[in-house]
Amino acid sequence: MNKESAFSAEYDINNTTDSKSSIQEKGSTPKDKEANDFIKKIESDYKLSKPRRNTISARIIPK
Amino acid sequence: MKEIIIRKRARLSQGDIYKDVEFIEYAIEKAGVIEISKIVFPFVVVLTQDCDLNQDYTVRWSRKDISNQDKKTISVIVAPLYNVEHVYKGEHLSELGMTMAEIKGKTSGNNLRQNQTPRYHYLEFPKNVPIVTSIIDFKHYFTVNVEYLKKHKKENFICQIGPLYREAVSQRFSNYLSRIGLPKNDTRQQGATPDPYSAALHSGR
Repeated sequence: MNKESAFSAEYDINNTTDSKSSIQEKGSTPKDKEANDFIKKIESDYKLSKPRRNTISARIIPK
Repeated sequence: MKEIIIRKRARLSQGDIYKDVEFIEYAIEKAGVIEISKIVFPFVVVLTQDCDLNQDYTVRWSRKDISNQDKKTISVIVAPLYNVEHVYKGEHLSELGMTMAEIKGKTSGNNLRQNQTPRYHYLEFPKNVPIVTSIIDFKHYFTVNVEYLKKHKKENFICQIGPLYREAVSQRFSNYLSRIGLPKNDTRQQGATPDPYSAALHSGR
């Protein structure tokens, strides 16, 4: 429990989340993985929403 | 745009929007190997006249006695829809290795949204249609085989643009196709006021 007043400068420094996030401290959790997968899915959907090229090759078998 | 029809008809219709439509770029055969390159467009809209599609359907698939195939079409005209956010940034064809012109500035953006740019048609969809606000690019029209599209429609129909709105799209398309490109310097050399329509052509729209 924090002993500093929520209005003191020490409280801000000790409780800031910008410089050191809980993810950095503890490593990635299943929730982080889930979030990353979700971001990847959004990114791939974003790419899929653009026209894309497919090239296929096949050997012709003479009859 | 308010007028959207979700109900799927058996036949292809003007204003239909389908997903994942393939365009064959080329098919070449070399030393016994055939190579086919195709572009898959996430969304396309049908631009062919509805009466032509109706008559084609009657000739091909109705059980009526037809004396000839005079009304049969060879292919269907479609145009791609691009995500408007991609179009603004000029990156809608980035997956094909193409960089397009960005649409910058308030005036260009407003012209696009109010359908004042002959090349493009701006479309907004209601929430029950899974398509983001999009731009039809008339310059990128292509044709698709009728039978392929009919089969494709079964699993890939999204919606249809409603009456009047779809006619507006097709009319703007035909106006765009029938534009006359004038030589760039003709009017300016003679000191006359440039025709805004030909100026639009020269600006690459």
